[in-house]
Order: sequence, then structure tokens, then C-alpha cells
Amino acid sequence: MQSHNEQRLKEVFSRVFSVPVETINDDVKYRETKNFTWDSIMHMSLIAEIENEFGIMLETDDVIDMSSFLKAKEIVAKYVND
Amino acid sequence: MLLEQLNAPFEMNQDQKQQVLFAELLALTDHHQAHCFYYQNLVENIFVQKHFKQNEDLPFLPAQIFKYLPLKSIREEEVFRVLNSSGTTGQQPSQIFLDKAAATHQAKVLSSIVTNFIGKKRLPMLIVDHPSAVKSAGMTARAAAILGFSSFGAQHTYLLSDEDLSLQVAALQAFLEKFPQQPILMFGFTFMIWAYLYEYCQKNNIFLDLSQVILVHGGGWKKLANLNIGKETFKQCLAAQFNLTKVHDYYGMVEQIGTIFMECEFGKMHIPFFADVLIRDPIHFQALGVNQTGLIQVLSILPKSYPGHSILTEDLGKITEIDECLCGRKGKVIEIHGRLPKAEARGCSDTHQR
Amino acid sequence: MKILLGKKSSDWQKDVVQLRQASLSVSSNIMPLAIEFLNALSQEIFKNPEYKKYPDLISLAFWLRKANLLALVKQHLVTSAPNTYLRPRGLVLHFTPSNVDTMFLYSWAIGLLTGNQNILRLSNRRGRVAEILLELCDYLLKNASEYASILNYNMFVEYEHNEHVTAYLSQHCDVRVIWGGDTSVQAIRHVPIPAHAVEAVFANRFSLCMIKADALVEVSQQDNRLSAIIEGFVNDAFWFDQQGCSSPRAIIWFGDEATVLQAQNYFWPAVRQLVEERFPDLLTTLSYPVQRFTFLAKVAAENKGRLLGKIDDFPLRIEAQSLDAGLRSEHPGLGCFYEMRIDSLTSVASLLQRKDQTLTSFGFSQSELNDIAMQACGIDRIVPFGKALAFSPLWDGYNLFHTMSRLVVVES
Repeated sequence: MQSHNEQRLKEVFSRVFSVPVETINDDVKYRETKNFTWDSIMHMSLIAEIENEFGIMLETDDVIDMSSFLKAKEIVAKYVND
Repeated sequence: MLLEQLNAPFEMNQDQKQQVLFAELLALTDHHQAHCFYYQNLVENIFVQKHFKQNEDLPFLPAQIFKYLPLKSIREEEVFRVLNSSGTTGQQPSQIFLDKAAATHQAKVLSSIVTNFIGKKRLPMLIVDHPSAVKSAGMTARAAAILGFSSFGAQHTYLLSDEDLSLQVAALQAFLEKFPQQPILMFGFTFMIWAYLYEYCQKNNIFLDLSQVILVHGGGWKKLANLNIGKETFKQCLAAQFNLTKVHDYYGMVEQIGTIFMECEFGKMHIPFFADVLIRDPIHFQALGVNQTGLIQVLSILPKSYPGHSILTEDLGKITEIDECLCGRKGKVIEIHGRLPKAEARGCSDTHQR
Repeated sequence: MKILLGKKSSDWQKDVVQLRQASLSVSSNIMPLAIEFLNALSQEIFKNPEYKKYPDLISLAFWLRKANLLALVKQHLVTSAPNTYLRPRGLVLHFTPSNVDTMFLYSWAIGLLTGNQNILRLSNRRGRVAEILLELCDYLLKNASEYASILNYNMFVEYEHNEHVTAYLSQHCDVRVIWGGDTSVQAIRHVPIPAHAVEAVFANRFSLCMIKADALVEVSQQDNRLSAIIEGFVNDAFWFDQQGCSSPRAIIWFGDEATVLQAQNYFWPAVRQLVEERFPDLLTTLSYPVQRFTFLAKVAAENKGRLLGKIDDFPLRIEAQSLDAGLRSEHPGLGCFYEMRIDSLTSVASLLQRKDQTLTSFGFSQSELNDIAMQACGIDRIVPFGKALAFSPLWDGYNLFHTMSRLVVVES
């Protein structure tokens, strides 16, 4: 994934979780976050926001697999070509 | 033991009473297990601990169970009377089975309590209800209470009309003129006294002197609580409107008919010697101490024809004192706070419920 | 009779007739419009951070995403037989449930996606989430001109139980959907619908949960895996105070006695702890323990079950030998469970009845679950933990897309 898209994705995470963009890195994992909550409810908001930002539609398996920021980058890359 | 004490239902102090009662209640627990199949199952499936050391260890039934199952410790052919609670509309009524002995017993016990407050002489009696309240098919709790109390009076006069429950003022005045300056017993349900006697007279500017009346009322405060009218207001209003000051509230339930808790001249509600009350925490059911509010559990050695000797009610209350009332009556004094508030049901419930 | 949403004049009966006659000749465009509108609604919900505190609303918004709707339509609005097409039936009349606030919108969404006209009767006891949804729909339909036409053929109404109104609405419908409650279904069902019309009804149902004990013991060694499972179960069981039709009320433990006991000892304390956190009302509402106790007393008196643990335990656990119709219908929710131990899959299948709707399962393979589904005479869905309350257009044995559609055959 291009670093431009990585930056966009970081901004999506930052918006959804209301945290500074610098706090988003590959170590951010579902249910294991420290200063904010990434639970099943927030997960749904996150997916919706990613779809909006990139104008894509994620498949169900990808929705379930997106268990970390690292994973999110990989998944989004499958849908976005730049 | 029981009959000897009937003339003195409030003489025994709590310590003494507790020991006597425990033995009787324990025997009843065995008796009902031997004679009521449902009760036996219930005890075996819930109250695994078989070693009962004191009243609070004894198994207790939820009051509502009498709505769902016909609990009785007598054979079908021994059933002499079945009492039904009115309950909330739309709900199944409770069913209480009495044999002949139980019916007689209950009447005697009720009498021993009531006469302790109003005296042995049968007084001219006014009933704040309509005559057909006691004529409906089946024995309702309301009819049972009216009929039960009627035995303490004479020349019974119903004060409300069958048509619209309006107060029969002329009949009431005639009654008062017929029995001047002597005690008169008046009986009715708390809410009916309020709505059909007090409010009716107040609205229609009817002034009556009821200072000679001894009022016995019961049936609960739920409806009045909804109108924000408490015990004190009730008493003050009756005193102001009618000069009526001898007022005795009582607490009783169809599940333990015969056993009632009655208010003395100091406004304290007393528990007779053949019954007891425990207060339990509504969440964990452990027994609570004096002045702690919780669910009221009623224990009574009367119910022999049905397993109602230990019932956990859905009413809240607390014990305020023991053996200390200025009126001289021994035992516990209870304060009733009314029904446990019900939470609204949720879930895939009915689309079309009213 | 009050029209909450839709075209209204002074005469609601005329409004109904007009709605029914609304021209849907451009109906090929209706579905894309419906998808755009529902997706816009989804975005409105996600946009407002206030709404994050309503998980049911967020789940609905997630379901209303364009990606999901397109996938659903692709999956369900097609037929496998050649030269057959699914077309709208006409006017769908929805009686929506009072206490599951988001349900009316799921029902409506399918009515919209299938291209039908819709009239929804909303309960007047609806809660905050339903109000939010009504406000958002109203806002979108009135302020975004591209959606305005939806108001021509959709209407939300509210009225006190009234057979004449129900009869009037029913005589104009092509499909009638009655959500929830035996009493409602029976009350509405005897009001006639046109001879050609069809009806989908959702009666009271019972749901269960099945756990393979050794699999649970195994994951109990791994902290985060157990907590994910417990979370799924707690969400399944305790939303709506365990009174939702799909919430499990009985637990079938699969395994030998010792393993089951071990699994239970991991399971229940963890469940209780999470309920304390998520649904504290269930533990602190003063009237619940005595209601649970009353229920226990009745089951015990009839010798249909015995108490496991203590009378004030949460959840209240009752060991049952079998599950008869009485046990199924008398269960009050509020955190009570029947539990039984079973050691063969055949006995699971024979336990399931027609009244049973959802079986949530943990630790079983797809083929084991298939076997149960094939052998049992009841059960409409077998889903993993956490999925019991998730809405699906496949519900109570219906495919709602198909219920609201005509199957048209075209042969030349």
C-alpha cells in the first residue's frame, strides 16, 4: 500500500477513535488498544468510515479479518489501486 | 397451645414466641412435605440444606406460586372452601384451599386479633362497600374480608349503592341517629374509604360527626400512593372531615387468611403470637435486622390445609421495634411500605398490547 | 390514527388509497434509490457520536451500509430457475414490535429493497432508538430532494389497538407481516386480508445454546479467546433482559459429567462478571430476584427441574431433565437458564421442537451442526456465539425478500 493511502487510513482510524493520528501504528489491534476502545461497536463505525473514505465495499470475510491496523492496510490495498 | 393463647394474642415476648413458633413451623414443614406433592418437590429441588435451626432457615414460597399451582395438603373431598385473590386484572387469581377445621380456626384467630383492638362486644356495624360485593360467584378476597369482619358487628349496613357506589347518606344518618353516643364499627377498604366516603362527603359538602366510629380498614395503599396520599394525610383528613380518630389499618393477604397485622392506638402495626415476620434483602434474600427495609416474609402456624406457613411476599417493609410498643402489646412492630416496584417488560413482546 | 411519516391529508383512509395507487411504473429505479436512501441513513447514524451508546442502532447502521445491501440483494433477489424473476407484490403492511426498537426499520428496508409500497404500524410504546430513527428518516426524506419520492409510497402510522383501522389497512394490502407475540399474531390474524394476499407471522419462539464442554475447557486456558466467547454469549443472552425470542434460555452441555462440570466452572463466573459490567440492571433491579425465584419455585414444584447453586445466584441455574412446552413458554428471561447434559448429537436433535428458533453453538463442526439440523423437527437457525440477535432476512424459516416478492415465470 502506498504511504499516501496509509496516511489516509491512519486519518480514518484517528477520526473514528478520536485520537491523534500519531497514535495509530501497526501495533493497534482489535480489543488490545490502550488509550481508546476498539470493540465490536467501534469496529462497525470503522468499517463504514473506511468504505466511505476509499469508496470501496468490503466483503464480509475482510470485515471479520480486519483485526489490526496492519491487517487493515493489507485489506484496503486489495481494493484500492493507485 | 394455640387455643389457650387465643385470648391473649400479644402477650408473648419475641424470644419466647420465636422458640414456640419454630417448633410448630418445623412440624408444619414436615406435614406439608408429607401431604402436598408440589410442596415436597419444591423443598427438595430448591432448599437442599435440610438442617433448619431457626425460622429464617425454613423454606419459603413466593406468594405468586398460589396463582400458578393448586397447592393443598388435604384431599380433594376435604376441601371446604376455596379462596380466590382478586389480584391485578388480567392475572390469574391465587387459590387457597381450606378444610372445615382450617376455616373455623381462621375465623377464631381473626376474632382473637380484632377483638383485642375493638373489644369483645359486637358493635353496630357500617360497611363501606356495596351489598353485592359479597354476593358474586366464588369467594373473592374482598368478600372474605367483609364477611370475616362482619362477625364482629351487628345490624350490618352497607353504605354504598350497588348501581354506582354512591354514598347512601340518608341511610348513614339514620344509622347514626339510631345508635347515638355508642361505639360503632366501620369496615372498608382503604381506597374505598378515601374515594367513596371521604372525597364524596368533601366534594358534596356533607358534614357528619363520626367521632363514635372505630374504623378498621385494609387492602393496601397502592392506589392512594399513586395519588400521593400517605397514611398521615389519610388520618388527618378523616379527623378533619368527620372527627374520626379511632382508625386501625390492617395488613393481611388471602394466602394467610386469619392472620392479620393490625394498627394499635399508637399507630403501630402488631404481629400476633402465632405469626411472625422476617425481612429479607430483595436481591440476596438474606434476613435483615431491625429498621432495615426489605421484602416481607410472613410465617404463621395456622395454614395446615395448604402450605402457606412461610411465604415471601412482594411487599416491602421493615421491623421498627420489638416488645416495646407503649400500648403494651408484645412482639414485632412492622411498617408496610407497599409493593415492590415492577420493572417494565422488554423483548420481542407484543406488537398489539395495550 | 396518526401518520408519523408520509403524505397526509385530513382523511387518512384516502391517504392509504392514494399510497396504494402510487405509480411504481419506474420501479426498476426504485431499488437503487432505496439503497442510496438506506445508505444515507446509515451514514447519518455513524456521523453522530452520540449514537455510539446505542449498539442496536450501530448494528442497524452497519447492516444498512451500501456494501451490505448490495450483497444481500445480489444474494436474495435472484432466482436459480431459468426465466424466472422476482417482482414486488404490491403493498406490504408491517405490524412492527413494540420493544425491539430497530426491528421496524429492518422490515421496512426489505420492503423498500423489494420495490414494494409499505405501510408500517409503529408501536406507541416505542423507545428512544425508534424515535431517533423516525427523526432521521423524516429529516432525510424532507430535506434531500432525491429521496422525496419515497414518501409517495411509504407511510408510518401509529394507532391504539383498533380493529377497524387494522381491517381497513389489511383490506388494501398484498402482504401482511406481523412481528412478534402470539397474542398479536392471533389478534391481527383473524382480521381478513384480500384473498390473493400472503402473510408472514412471527410467533413467540424459544432459543437455546449448545456448548461442547471439552472445547470450552480448551479455550479457557487462553484468556482472550474465552473472553471473546463469553462476550458473544452475554450479548446473545442478556440484551432485552433475555426476553428476545432469539436469546438462549436453555443450555445444552455436550460431554461427559466431569468435563461439563469443569466447563461450567469456567463459564458461569466469567458470564456473571461481564453481565455486572454490561447489564448491571439485571443484577440490581429489585423486582427481578423474586420473579426469578417464583419461576424457579414453579418449575421445582412440578418437579421439572432443580436448583443448581443458590437461590440468589445470577444467573439462576436450573437443571432440567427435558424441556416440555410448559418450560418453554413459562421462562421469564431475566437471567434464568435451564441446563442439561447430553452426550450424543442424536439426543440434541430429538430435543428440538417446532417452537425453537435459534440454536447458538460453540465447539461443533459444520457437519455436526448439519446433522442436527437435518434430524431435528424444529430450529430455524444455528449460529455461532454472538450472532443470536443479528438480524437476517432469513428469519423464522422465511426468506423475507421472497415473502415480499412475486415469482414471475416467463417462457417464450
